[in-house]
Order: sequence, then C-alpha cells, then structure tokens
Amino acid sequence: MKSKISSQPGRIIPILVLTNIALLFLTSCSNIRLVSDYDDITDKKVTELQDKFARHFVKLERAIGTSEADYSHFIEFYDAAKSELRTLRVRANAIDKNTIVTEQLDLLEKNVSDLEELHKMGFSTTAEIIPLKSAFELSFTAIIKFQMGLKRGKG
Amino acid sequence: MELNTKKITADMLNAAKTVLKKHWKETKPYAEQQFKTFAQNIQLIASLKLRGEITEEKAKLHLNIQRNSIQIVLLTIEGLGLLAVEEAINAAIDVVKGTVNTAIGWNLL
Repeated sequence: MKSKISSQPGRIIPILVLTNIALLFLTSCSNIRLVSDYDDITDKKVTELQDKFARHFVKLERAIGTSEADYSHFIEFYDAAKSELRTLRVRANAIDKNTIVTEQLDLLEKNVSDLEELHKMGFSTTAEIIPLKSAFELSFTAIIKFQMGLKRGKG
Repeated sequence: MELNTKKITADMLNAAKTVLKKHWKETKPYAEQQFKTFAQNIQLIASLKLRGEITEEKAKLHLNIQRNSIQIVLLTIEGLGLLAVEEAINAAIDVVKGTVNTAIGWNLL
C-alpha cells in the first residue's frame, strides 16, 4: 500500500517549502533587536562626563563674582569635554541601531557649545547657573537612564 | 495536533499588552518629573530676563540648552518605548515557540 506522501508529491513539496520558510522566519526572529545592544564603554564615558560637568558647575558657582570665573580659566575644560563627546559620538555612530544615542550625543554637544558661548559672555550671578546645571543633569540622567534600559534586565 | 491560530494570536496579544502596560507605569513618573523640571527652568530664565540679569542673546542660548535637554529626555522615552515593543515582540515569539514545540512534540524552535 502506497503512503499518502508518496502518492501526492506535487502537493507535499510546496507545503514543506512553506513550512521551512515559516520556521526559518520564526527562528531568525527569535531575538528581535529594535535598538542597539548595551555598550559598556558609552555608559562609563557618559557617567564620567556627567561627573566632570557636576564638578565644573560647582567650581563655576564658587568663582562667580571673581576673575576666577572668567572663560579663560575654563578653556581647557571645554576643549576636553568637546573632544570626549566627539570620540563618544564616533563610537556611538559605529554601533548598529544606535540612532537614539547618537542624537542624544549631538544634542549634548550643542549644549556644550551654547554653554561655552554663555561663558564667553560672562556669568554675573549664580542664579544664571541654576537652570544650566539643571538642564545638564536632566540630559545626563536621560542618557544614563536609556543606557540602563539597554542592559535589558541583565543587571 | 493542529496549531490553534486563534489561541496563538490571543496569547501573543496578551503577552504584548502585559509588557507595554508594565513599561508605561515605569515611564510615566519619569516623564512627569522631567517635564516639571523643564518648566521650572524656563520660568527661571524668564525671571532672569525680566529682572534684566541676562540679555536677550543670553536668554536665547539658555532656552536652546533647555530645548535640547528636553529633546534628550524625549529620546530616552522613545527609546524605552522601543525597548518595551521589542520585549513585547520577543514575548509574543516565545509564545509561538512554545505552542509550535508542543504541537510537534519536540523542541524545534
């Protein structure tokens, strides 16, 4: 007695092909990634930068009202911060599906440039530092929060 | 054993719904807090300008910084949302995997 399969070869082949395609799709989809994987170096460097900016604002607040607050005393800080951000941006750009992080770093870079422009004009009151410090804290917290999210529950 | 497509669809939808709900609860308080800080900063800048402590040129730079900062926050919210969707898709695929493996009687997926 012939089996059903051998008696219907024309019908069974398309079914097997479709099943294989479906299984291949499901297997390839078993670990979907819509955004980049967690990058330890980005996380560490952003956290280090956050610390440098926190120190920068403390130093600036203490110096306001004296010549120590002049932009000329902070050129080195701005140069280093911009250089570190550029390096981070290049790294972020090299990571797949990392558009969110690269956009965040672009915006942070713009903020550093605007902060530098403000500093060149001079700070006459500590009240001016409050919204700046807060904006940078907001930015760094957001970037670090997203980095923590990228760990995807891996601790 | 036949695959019950209706049950698979329902299970996938349930898995996705549960994950998305869970993440919205986490995201909402964060978003609320950041928007509140942003509004307070804008108010401070307006006060500095009104009191004549900063020029219009400086006020514009201050506002640029605030606008960029809230954009960074919004990008994080967008990213966390994408991560939630990603988790939902993977949870749904896991449901399909389980059902397919049970249906065929061995771990194919």
